[in-house]
This record gives sequence, structure tokens and C-alpha cells, in this order.
Amino acid sequence: MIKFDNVSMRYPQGLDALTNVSFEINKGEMVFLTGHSGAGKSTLLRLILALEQCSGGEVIVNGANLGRLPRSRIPFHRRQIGAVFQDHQLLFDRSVGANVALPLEIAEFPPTEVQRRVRAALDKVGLLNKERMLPARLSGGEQQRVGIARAVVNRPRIILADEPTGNLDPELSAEVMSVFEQFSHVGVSLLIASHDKSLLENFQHRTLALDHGRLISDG
Amino acid sequence: MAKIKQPNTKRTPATRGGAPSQFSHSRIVVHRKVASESLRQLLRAPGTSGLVVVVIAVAMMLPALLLLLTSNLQANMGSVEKAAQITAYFYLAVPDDKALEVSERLQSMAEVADVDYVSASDALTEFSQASGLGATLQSLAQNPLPSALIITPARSSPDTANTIEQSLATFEEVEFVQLDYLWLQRLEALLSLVNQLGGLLLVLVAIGLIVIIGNAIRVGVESKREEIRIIKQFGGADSFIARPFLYTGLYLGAAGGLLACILLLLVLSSLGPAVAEVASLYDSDFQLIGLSVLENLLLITAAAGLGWVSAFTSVLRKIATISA
Repeated sequence: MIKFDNVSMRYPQGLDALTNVSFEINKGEMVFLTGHSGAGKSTLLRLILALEQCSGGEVIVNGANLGRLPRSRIPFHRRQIGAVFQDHQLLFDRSVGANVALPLEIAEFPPTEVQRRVRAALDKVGLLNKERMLPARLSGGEQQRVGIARAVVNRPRIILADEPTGNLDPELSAEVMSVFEQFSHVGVSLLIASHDKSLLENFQHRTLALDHGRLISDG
Repeated sequence: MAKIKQPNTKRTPATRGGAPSQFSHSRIVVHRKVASESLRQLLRAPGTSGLVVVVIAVAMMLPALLLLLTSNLQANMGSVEKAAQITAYFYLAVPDDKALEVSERLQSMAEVADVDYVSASDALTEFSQASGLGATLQSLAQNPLPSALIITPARSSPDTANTIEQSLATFEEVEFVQLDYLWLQRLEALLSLVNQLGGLLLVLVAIGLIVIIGNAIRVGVESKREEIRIIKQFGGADSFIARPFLYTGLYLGAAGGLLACILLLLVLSSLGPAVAEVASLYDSDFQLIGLSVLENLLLITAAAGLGWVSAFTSVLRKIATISA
């Protein structure tokens, strides 16, 4: 599903965000990505989403070499991935429901299907009763869960999550992780970036550890 | 909590370039939704969009008014031209029967619609009555006026007039031919020039409108930069992001076109009485005629098209510069 082959990433300012990183994530696998702030976790996730292009090596996602992917195909590549961002990336002038519906509307799903899937996704994160509210009226944890609902609503093949439980209390964190595990059971590959040690200890999954842009452990 | 379902592995709009057939209906529904949402957005800011619509309307109205006025004048040129006639004067010595013979030969020409013969004595009578010099004229030993032919051409073109003039030159009885076409030719040339200026103005206005609408929409894109960035992160293609802005351009253009039609109607109705008064001084029933329903629709469609084109040219480039 996801393959990094000797991937390096150097920003134009000369900063080496990743250096010779290689790993592979298979279908239905749930993997944690850990490391201190600035270790390269977000850059790695951005490379998978084709938000950045690596300066060395190859990133292969769903069989497609992202370095060779034509610009016109990038939107379709991104639609196969559900992304949860650390800063939520919600549209604050749209309701919770409209935010969750965004990936479905981009993919031009019929409105009835959009409504059905949005309600199901909100139900999964326990926000069904807040569908019509504006995100600004939600707490940080609730906004995080809206972001999670939006990431899973399109039933993606891959879910990338950057600190998905950062704003959640332990009980909600456990619930969200349980939702992620259910996705992995039905064949979705997950890569969850987190430096929450308790989370990594409570959920025993393969962990990729980054340090100054280098992969220092995989296991 | 709801049961987790399998991920999308079949080819859906999310994973392929185009939409499969079951989604073609939904694409129409999505377009309808985007179209109505764009309209709502415009109505939410009536001040800004209203200003743009007024600018479009005034800009569209000026060349349209110019073209309308010249087309009105050209339409009325026909009746003026028909009234223009050619007068052929005979030598004083030419007798009536000879002059009538010339008249008959002219009448047989395809270029001639009608020929009126005015004998020398008829001309004298008419002149006596019109000038009030009847007694003086009667005291003359002989009639000083020649007999004449008043010829109405079949077609009101300079070519026809020239053909008739050349034919008249072959008759030795004819001393002098007077053509009333020169001023018409000048007027026609002037109208043609004004018409060309109107067309040129229309092109310049179209370019100006593309810039104005494009700029208004570019500002809209800039204000939604963050939203566009997020949509791109979730796989929104540039065409998807541009869609509401294209509808905005279409609406602004159409509304501007509609307002231009209304303004034209108001201007023509306000000018109508003054034009009729001037025309009556020249014994003419000339009236300003406005745009037909079809022409109004054409103007609105053209303005809407212009709005779409300006949105298309400005938005796609602008969106491409915003990275996810």
C-alpha cells in the first residue's frame, strides 16, 4: 500500500527533513509513527499525500510512484487517502456536516449518499447531534473528531493521522483508536503520527521511530 | 456506533479520472447545488456584486446604444433614399413628343422605377404659383424653363444612379442631369464609420469587462485561499474549486446584461419624444425602435458568456498558484 524507498526530503532553505527513509506498510496494517517535534513525521505524511515531492528516492502509494504522477492525477490520488491533521483544517464557515461531506462532494457522490455517509461517520465519532453546528462552537476535542469523521467518510484505502488524539481525553482517545482499529480490520492501512507514549503503549502496533529525519527503528 | 465498511476498492469518482455513468445524474445535481450556492453568495453581498453589475451594464449599454441608433438611422435610410430622385433637363428647343419618347425609353430600363414628365408649360405654371411672380413671368416673350424628367431609381444605390446617368448622357435631347445622391453617400459613409466605431467600442468594452469581472472574481478567490488549500488537500481538482467562481462570473455577466437592456429601454423611451419632434420638423415619421426580444436575449447571453470567460481565464490561473 505504502512504500518508501530510500526517501530523502530537503526543503529549499537547505533543511534536511528526511534522510534515506525506507519502509513498507501493507494492506490493513496499522502503524504508529513517532519521534520528537521536528523529527520529520509531518513531512513524511505530506509526502504520502503528495503535498510535497521528495528530493531523493521513491514514494509508492497504491502502486503509483508519486514522483512520476502527473499533476492532473494528484487530486485523484489524494481522494484515496483519509487525512486527519493536527490543526484540524476545518472550514469554519460551514457546518460540521458540510465539513464531513467535503471529500464526498469533491468525489461527486449523489446528495442522498452524501447525507447517509456523513451521518454514519458522525455517529462513529459520537457527534451525530452536532451535524448542523458550526465548528467554532465545538471544543478542540470535538473539532478533532470532526476531522476524523471527515477522514473516514469516503471509506479510503489509507488513513493518515497527525496527532489524532492530541486534543482528546484518554477515554475519547481510546474510542477513536478503536475506530481506527476497526478500519484496519476491514483492510484499510493506517499510519498514525503521535508522540503520545501512553497511546503507543496501550495499543500495541508496529511503530516507526524518526529522529532528525532518519528512521531509527521499525518494529 | 455504526458498523465499519470496506474501503472503496472499486473504481469510483474518488479513484479515477472521470465519473462513472451512475454518477452522471449526481453531477447535474452537484452543479445545480453549486449554482444555487453561488447565487446565494452573490445575494449575501449585494453591495459589491451590485456595483460590478452596474459597471457591466453601463459598459455594455454604451456601444449597444450607439449600434442601435445607427441601425435605426440605416433602417430609415431606405425611405430617404427612395425619395432621392434624378432630374434630367432637356434643351429648350426639344419638343414635348421627343421628350416623351426619351421618357418611355427610360421607363423600359430595369434600373428605373418611375419617370415623371414635367413639360415646360407645367413647370412655368408651377413656378408661377410657387414664386408669386406670375404676372412678371407672363410678360416674358417665351417660356425660359425647360421640360424635365423626374426619375425614381428602382434601387437606392449609387451604382443604379450612375447607370441611369450614363444612359441619360446618350440622349442628345438632354442638356443637364442633376443627381441628389451625393449627400446620401456622405451620410451612408458617416453611418458606416459610426457603426465601425460602435463595433470597435464593443470589442474594447468586452476586453474591459473581462478585466473587471476577472478582477472581482480574483478577489473572491483570494478571500477563500485557506478554504481552497483545504479542498486541495482532500483531492479537490482545480476545476471543482473553480466551479462556483465560474457560476459567479456567469451570474454577474447575465445580471449586467439584463440591467443594460433595462437601461437601453429607459434611454430610448426618454429620447423618443425629442427624436420624434426633430423628425416631424423634416416631415418624417422616424421613430427610435428598441431591441427585439431576441436581441435582448442575445445581449444578456453575450454578457453572461463574457462573465464566464473572464472568470475562466482569471480563476484557473489563480487557483493553480495556491498550493495545498
